[in-house]
Amino acid sequence: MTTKGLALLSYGLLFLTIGAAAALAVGDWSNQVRQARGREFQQLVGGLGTGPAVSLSGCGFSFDARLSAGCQFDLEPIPGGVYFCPEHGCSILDCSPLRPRSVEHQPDHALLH
Amino acid sequence: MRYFIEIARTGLTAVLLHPLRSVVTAVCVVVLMLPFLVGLALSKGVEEEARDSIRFGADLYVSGDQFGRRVPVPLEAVNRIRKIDGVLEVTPRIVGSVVLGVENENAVLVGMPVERFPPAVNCVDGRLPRTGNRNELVVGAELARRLKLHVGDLLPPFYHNPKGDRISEVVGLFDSDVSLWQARLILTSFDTAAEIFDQPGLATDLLVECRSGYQESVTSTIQRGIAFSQGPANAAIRTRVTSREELQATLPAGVLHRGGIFNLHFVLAFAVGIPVVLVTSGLGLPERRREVGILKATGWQTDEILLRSAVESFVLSLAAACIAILLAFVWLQWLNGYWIASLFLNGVDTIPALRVPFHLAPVPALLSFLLSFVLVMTGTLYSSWRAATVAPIEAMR
Repeated sequence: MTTKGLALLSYGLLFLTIGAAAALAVGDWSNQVRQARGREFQQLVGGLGTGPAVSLSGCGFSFDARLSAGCQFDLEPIPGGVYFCPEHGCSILDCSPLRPRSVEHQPDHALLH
Repeated sequence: MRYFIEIARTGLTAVLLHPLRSVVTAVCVVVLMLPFLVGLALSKGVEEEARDSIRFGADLYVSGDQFGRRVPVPLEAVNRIRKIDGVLEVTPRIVGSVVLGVENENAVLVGMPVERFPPAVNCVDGRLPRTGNRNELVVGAELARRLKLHVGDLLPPFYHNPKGDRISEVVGLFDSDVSLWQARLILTSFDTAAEIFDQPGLATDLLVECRSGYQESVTSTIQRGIAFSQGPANAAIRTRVTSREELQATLPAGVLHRGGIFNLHFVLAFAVGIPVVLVTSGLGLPERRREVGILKATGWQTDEILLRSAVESFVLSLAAACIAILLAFVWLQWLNGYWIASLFLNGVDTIPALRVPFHLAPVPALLSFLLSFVLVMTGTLYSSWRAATVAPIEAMR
């Protein structure tokens, strides 16, 4: 029984490992096919979407960083304040806010010396 | 070497000696790993689509800036920016939020100049909008399903313009597997979008294409030299320029650089998982203690017992990780992220109308195996060590 059981366990483990590797390979291949179709879409709309939201109804930044530099519900530096946004509440893609260029590069800036 | 292989073989036997314990441990690990893997795969998929969005978009995005906030930019900026040395093309774009239908469905309306549209595209079932008497719209898959729209359907006016409201015609539907952000998208001509939002002469942003190497100088010239006056008091509207590199910097750097409640949940889950495996591994299993006691009484050393437990843990964690990867693949590829996509992607239905983007990459899969190994090892090794360091007679009692 032990020898048979060991053989079954070994083969089972082998098939599981091969299956997992195949799943990774198939996923990678289908991803490449999607990327080719996605390119056409992005060129059509001029580049749209950078976050996990599909509409502008909540946080514009969660939809596209080009439309909003940061999250309007960001309540930092309150601890955890950045997560009060309902779009970020379970966010799987945490994007840093866009950093505006330094004031020296802005026209008509005023510097106090 | 043969000696170690023989000891390792006993580790495989140990898996079969307590089949219920092995199955329960593996199931616990799968339950912990599966949502984590699915979330990581979704995150990677969305991130890759975001990178494509940035890569295949414009070199620079120019918008207005008032009080440090983004505001629309006047269309007169188009010709002024076109004259800058290094600029190849400037395209105005409107992106805004609209509400449609009885259920007040939120949609993103994008207006682009029709001259920019190619004659035919593969990502649209139907055709692209043209200028005409009616508003022509291309609608995203999720929105079309919610509003029960098909190609050729007519929409009553969903906006108000003092100059008159027009009927809209759906001339195309985006394919569901094209992109995440087509889900609630309405694509139309720039003039139609301006009429819908009643914002003549304005664009939300300008898409600027530059010659190679001129990006920085064009950015500097726009920010220093382009500004507008608006309103009776001639309030200044400055320009804000966002480059492709700045957008890429907003995305997470790698799989370990992900924040949010997602990571916090799984740190807690893994922390709870260790005591769970501890209990199933032997803290409450007197047979395992007697088994270790018998091995010690027959001459096994503590390190040999620990090696046996390590191999046992390796086999269990490898099996659990592989099962979790396979289940994650089935859940995302064949079930299209049923329910879990709506949890992580705001605005997506329980049964998504779009093809949920995901990428089960080797690095997260390896990470899940390592995590499951640590989980099982921590639970198994401690109980084995405790049993191995007492006198055999005590362990066998």
